[in-house]
Amino acid sequence: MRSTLPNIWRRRHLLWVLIVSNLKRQNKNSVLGYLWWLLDPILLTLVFYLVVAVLFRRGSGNQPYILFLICGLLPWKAFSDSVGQSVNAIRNQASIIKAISFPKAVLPLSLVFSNTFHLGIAFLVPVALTLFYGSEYGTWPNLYYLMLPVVIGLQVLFTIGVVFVISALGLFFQDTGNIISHLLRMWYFLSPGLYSLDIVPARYQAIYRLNPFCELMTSYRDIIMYSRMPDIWDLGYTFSISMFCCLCGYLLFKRYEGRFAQRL
Amino acid sequence: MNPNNVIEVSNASMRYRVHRSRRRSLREAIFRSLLHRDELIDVWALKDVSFELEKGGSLGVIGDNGAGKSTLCLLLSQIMSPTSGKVEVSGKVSALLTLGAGFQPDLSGRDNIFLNGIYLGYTRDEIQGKFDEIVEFSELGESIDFPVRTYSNGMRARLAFSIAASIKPEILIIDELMGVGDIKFQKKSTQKMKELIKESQALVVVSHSMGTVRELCSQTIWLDKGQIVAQGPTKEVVSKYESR
Repeated sequence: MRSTLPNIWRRRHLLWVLIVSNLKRQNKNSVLGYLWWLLDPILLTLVFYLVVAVLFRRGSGNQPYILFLICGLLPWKAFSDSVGQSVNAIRNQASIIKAISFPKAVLPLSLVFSNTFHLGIAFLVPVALTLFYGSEYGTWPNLYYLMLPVVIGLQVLFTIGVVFVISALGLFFQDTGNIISHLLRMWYFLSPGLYSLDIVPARYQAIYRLNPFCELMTSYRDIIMYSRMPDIWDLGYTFSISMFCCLCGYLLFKRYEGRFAQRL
Repeated sequence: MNPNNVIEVSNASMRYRVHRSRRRSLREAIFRSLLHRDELIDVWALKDVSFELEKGGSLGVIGDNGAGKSTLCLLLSQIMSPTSGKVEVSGKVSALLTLGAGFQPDLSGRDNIFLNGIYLGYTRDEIQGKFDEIVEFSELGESIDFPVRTYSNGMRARLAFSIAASIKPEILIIDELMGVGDIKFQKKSTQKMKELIKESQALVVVSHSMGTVRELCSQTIWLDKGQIVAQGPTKEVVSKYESR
């Protein structure tokens, strides 16, 4: 069964169940269970915070650095987890792909959505931080939070495109996993995750900002830290590039999925 | 597609490309595509196969090992698509091929019933309706709430068969009519398969047992090395096959 849009829609129940079972499976055998949904982002942030702020004494400025850091890190984590897991998304389901006919696109899609759910939960941490810093820096929760789903939606669109490509590549070339983990790390350091956009030299700004995560991270910070509307043109650019990626990824995946079963 | 037919296969061919090593690395892929020296071996599992099956019909597929019977099953159940030619199937296909594929070992038997059913295209409510029947047939009792990784092979096979058997098939594809589990369950599952066959609107049976094919199928095709050697009424084809 091809991953045409009507077929994916027909198997929306499957997509839903895969998302839920992704979420269930990760915590089933751990002692702390669902607490990991919060602990994971907290620990990850603390590690980066310790390295950058405590060890290298960087990133102070006139805003709480930990809030700056976490607004970029959590969305990035959702993206890189999705992409990293998608490398084996097809191969892990080899037995079922060879036994039952279903649109394979639900496999990478379910990864994106379960990681987006994680992101939604994880965002409780920066929101709690804004309360903590509220009286000092005026970072209170605000009406612009209504824009968060829009920005997350753009990120999801972009992630879907990338994940379609990587899950297909991951099946046909075994080294995809090795390359991807390094590419992802490099990509993070080339995005304004640890530092702000201003330190990028002016003549590189144009190229630097082609990276959709530049706009995404900036938008998250605009909303959560600065209580302001993200730049609408930046969002427009992110939308076009995400849409383009999503479409290309989808067409590529659809073209090659017929060969998946043979390849497994 | 002719409205009286449920299966139409026209000039279907299936090629497996066998690489020297099973999976290429990226370096090798680039290297080889530059040199145009890809060491591929083409294996044609099916070559130019055509047949039809009408509503209410039953088709036997016979042939020696490696004749392409299993590939044909995979094409009919739409798990693979042919390299060239067309395979058209109208109606819900239920294939008793690889039972228990796709069980998630960490999830309970209960969750796996839902997961499997949903892969097959059913909604939660539809599966809920069949749930008790499945559990009862599998004789798993309270174990249904234990993770599947704690199951014995027999328990796993029983659960898998019970799920597959709970589906009311329109088109039923069977690869060898065999029971699973211990002797008692084997009898029960063979019995159940015969019930399913009666209920189905069209049937494809792959078998090495000429008795089974004679009993169940009115039409038969004989495959050898991916090609049809003979096709027609079961009596003629089977006797040709036996007297070669």
